[in-house]
Amino acid sequence: MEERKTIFDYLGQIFIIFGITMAILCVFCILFGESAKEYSGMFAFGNEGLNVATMGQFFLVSICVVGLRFVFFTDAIIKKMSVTARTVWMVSSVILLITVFILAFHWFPADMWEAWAMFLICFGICFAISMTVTIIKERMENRRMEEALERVKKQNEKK
Amino acid sequence: MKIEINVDEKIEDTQIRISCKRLTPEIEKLLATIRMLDKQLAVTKEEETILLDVYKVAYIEAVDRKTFVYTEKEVYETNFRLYELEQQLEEYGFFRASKSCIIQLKYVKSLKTDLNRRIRVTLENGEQIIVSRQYAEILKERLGVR
Repeated sequence: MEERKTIFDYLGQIFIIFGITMAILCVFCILFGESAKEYSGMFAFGNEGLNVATMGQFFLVSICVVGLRFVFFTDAIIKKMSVTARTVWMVSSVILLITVFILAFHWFPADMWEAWAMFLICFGICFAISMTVTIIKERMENRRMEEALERVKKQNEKK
Repeated sequence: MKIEINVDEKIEDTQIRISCKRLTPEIEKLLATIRMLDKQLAVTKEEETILLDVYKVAYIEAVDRKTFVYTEKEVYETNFRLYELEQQLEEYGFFRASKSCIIQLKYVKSLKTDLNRRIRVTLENGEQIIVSRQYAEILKERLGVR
């Protein structure tokens, strides 16, 4: 029987995304918090830390990302779609989701192009790293499986 | 039913003889199981029973309580349940791909990781079968890549 995911599996994913995001934000807070506190609601306390409201907003983002992952990276809703198309949809949706949060919660001023550029660069770098790691891991696993398949086929032929 | 076993060192070829009033479905199943030990599988096609060499079977699929046997070009039906075939054919290199399918490794052309930790199997004839997540782990273990 196909192994079914429980609510705790999804909670685990939410907390992993939330934890990583918080760790990155803490580093940003220490490095740029003081200079960004004038115009960013996210760094209102300067380099002293993040406020609870920001943490709540990022927790909400984590829930939405896990929701999007369920939509695009399982076949529960979309039955037939290539992995590339799923990735493109997922990335577009996440960018749209974060844009909505930026505008709704004034993470930075909407007319500040430098901030948007920074956001897109950061997102692009993170995405490129994660995609590269995924592709390399997948290729290595496929190669290992192919080699093992050949080995087992030869063993079976000898029997 | 009387079972008689005669062990004699002088006998060169093992013989199994069944004496019965008529062939019942139970006896036919027993015969089919014995034939499988001889690497043959009793299958039917257009009401004709054929003894198919196990090495010709690419995969076996259960659909609506029926079991279908696929070779590279033909499809046959068998009276065996999938779990019975899985047990008996494991030693010939068959593995479970999903609740309803077993595949012979010999006919697997390639294995690729798929969405949700599943495995996409491409057979020698180009057909593709998905190995569900649960059985993908078992297959990886069997291949020694876990």
